[in-house]
Amino acid sequence: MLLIIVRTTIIFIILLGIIRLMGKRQLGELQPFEFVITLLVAELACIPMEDMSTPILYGLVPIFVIFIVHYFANFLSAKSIRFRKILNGKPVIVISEFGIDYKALKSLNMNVHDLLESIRGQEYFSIEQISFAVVETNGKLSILNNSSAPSPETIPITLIIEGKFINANVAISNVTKEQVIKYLKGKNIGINDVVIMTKENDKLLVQTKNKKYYTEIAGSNL
Amino acid sequence: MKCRFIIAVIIFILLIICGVLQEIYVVQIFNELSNRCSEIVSYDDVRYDLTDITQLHKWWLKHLGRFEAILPNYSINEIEMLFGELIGAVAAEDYKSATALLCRLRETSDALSQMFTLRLGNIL
Repeated sequence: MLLIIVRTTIIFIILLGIIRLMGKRQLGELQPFEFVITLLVAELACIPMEDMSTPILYGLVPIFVIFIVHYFANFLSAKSIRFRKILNGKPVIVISEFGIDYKALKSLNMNVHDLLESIRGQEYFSIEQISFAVVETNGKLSILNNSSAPSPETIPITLIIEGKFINANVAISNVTKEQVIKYLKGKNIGINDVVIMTKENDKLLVQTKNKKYYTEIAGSNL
Repeated sequence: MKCRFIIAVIIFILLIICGVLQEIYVVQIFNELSNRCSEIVSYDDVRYDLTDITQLHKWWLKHLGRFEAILPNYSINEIEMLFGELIGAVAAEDYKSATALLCRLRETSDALSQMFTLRLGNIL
């Protein structure tokens, strides 16, 4: 029985660590800690059910151990903010008044595609519409609306994400890659430095790494 | 909240106590079985007494019920099968096979005793 206690605790800690390393996109709406418990308890409950040669104790003891680990981890996380951070991580600001925080996004193992998908899911189609966006510890995105920003007239077409052209979008946006490259050269921006570039009718939105995004009416520039 | 804390502490203490007691019990019984086998086994030209073997089996059966609740069945079945073969061999006066089976029973007991001990090798 002591073996089961030790092994269950070890597997629990390792699984929790792995889930934390995988980043928040794997989690859905659960805290990493809760996610690990959901995975483990469901599986553990099955062991004595399907394997008749295993005593029921072999399924029950690990479940009790998980309950205790869960209880004391919750107890400690209520007492210590540092412990809570270790256990569940902390909320991370991914969009601020400067635009997308590319470093923060990478620290979460997310990319700009994931972020755009998440903000579209909350009916925002441009980062201009957002003052702040925070990825919570359960993987959800919380958004503070930028009320002063104009609503997009149409869906902004993403031309470049993280230094790479989205060829399908370029084809439908009435511009060519050469024109975009020429435009960026004119602005002294290397294509690899572009975090996001969108086109909404004539309006361009460009953000480069470590700089605030800007918008401008492209006109004859593009 | 306080009630849950007390339940968690009680379960924790119970788990540790039961775990320690179970380990002591299992190791003690397997060691005892191994010792009893060593007492009976002989490499000379001896005739084993069927009563000794059946008494050993009866002693084992006393612990079998408890073992079924705390150990995986495959390990208990192995011991049971060995006893069956041993009793059969002694009853048929095949003492060479009986010696081999007693040695096997002893080694199996030692191995199972090691298998259920809290040690780094078993954890990893």
